[in-house]
Amino acid sequence: MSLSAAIRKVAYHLPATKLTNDDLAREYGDWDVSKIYEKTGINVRAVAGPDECASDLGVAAARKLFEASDLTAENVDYLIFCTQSPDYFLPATACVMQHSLGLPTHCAAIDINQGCSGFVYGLSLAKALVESHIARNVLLITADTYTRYIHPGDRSVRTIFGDAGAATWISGVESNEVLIGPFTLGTDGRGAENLIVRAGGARTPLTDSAREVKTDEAGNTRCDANLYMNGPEIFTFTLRQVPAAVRDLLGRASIGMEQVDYFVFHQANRFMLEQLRRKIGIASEKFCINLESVGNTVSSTIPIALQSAIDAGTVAAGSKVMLVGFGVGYSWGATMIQVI
Amino acid sequence: MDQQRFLTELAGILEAGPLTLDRPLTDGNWDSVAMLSTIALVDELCDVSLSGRDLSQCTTPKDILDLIERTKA
Repeated sequence: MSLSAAIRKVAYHLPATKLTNDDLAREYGDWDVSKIYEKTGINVRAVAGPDECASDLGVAAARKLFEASDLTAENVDYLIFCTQSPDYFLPATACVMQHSLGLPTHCAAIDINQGCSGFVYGLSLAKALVESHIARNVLLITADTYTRYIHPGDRSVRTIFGDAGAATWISGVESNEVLIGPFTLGTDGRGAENLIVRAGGARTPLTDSAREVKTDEAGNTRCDANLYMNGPEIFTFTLRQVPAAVRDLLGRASIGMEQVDYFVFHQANRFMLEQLRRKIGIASEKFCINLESVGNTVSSTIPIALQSAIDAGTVAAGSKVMLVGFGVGYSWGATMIQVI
Repeated sequence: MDQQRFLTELAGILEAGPLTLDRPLTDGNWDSVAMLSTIALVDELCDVSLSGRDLSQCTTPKDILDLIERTKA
């Protein structure tokens, strides 16, 4: 028997404020709610309040995790916080959260900046830390408040994104099986400009010109400090890269599609997920769609969908689940987990 | 690729009447959702991933067919 890193428990938190398709229809006037639902699969998005940061969502999720599992704050010795909406430029938000959560001062705490692939990247780090005996109990928190970046007049992203936090406990168990892994990871920075908040960092400071709001040919308004997404380019990237990542992972794991019990992909939008499902050849009953009441919550979609599938009994102890994250960067990652 | 099937499916995406090769795409509902659907259609029909940026430059169905050929090459 050897030490295998495993996902012990997942919990998540959604902010109280909701944005529904009916709200958007009232706001935009000429809105075709049914068409947008048909394409996105989203009815309701959770939206962080004006004083609610990603760290607050993550801390709330971690507190739920402590309540729902045997993990206690004093036993966490490594905190990984994955976000693209940190509280500050510095310090690392993970350091602030170490204090908020009452984690011991011998606990390591780092931020990682990834979006839709972030949960899979976080798992790759957590597995390495546990199996190399650097850490015993890793707390992986994913949380984002993308809605803060969105201009109210930009329907292309406002329909899709919601805010959330998720907390995952990874620790070692004595087992002869691989419970997390193998991994397929990849990056293509040529796609950086297709999903971006351009202004506010060192490259493009937040000047008056960066704040100048413009309207694009589709009638969506935004400035350079807002989130911009080139939907068709992102879609083309996923059609090209995600099936290849799935094939690569199956090869690394030396298994066939039929040996995977359930597939949890990053919940981007229903249209994209259905296209990927058909192209890869996954049966609909083995493929997770979990968007309707949460929206696309970036790095938290996979843990939320995974825990929802566990809660619903769709997957149970022993189930082999494929997790695939892909998007902003471009960045992608896929792995297998076994539910324990 | 079956050109007639492509035109029929594209007409459905655009919610326009019957399409000819030279009819402007903007006679129908040529928005970002239609572009996503067209990328998916072309991927399904001929296993070609069109660039969204290149697709947005197309003004007629013939432009899209030409783009498919250029992408294949």
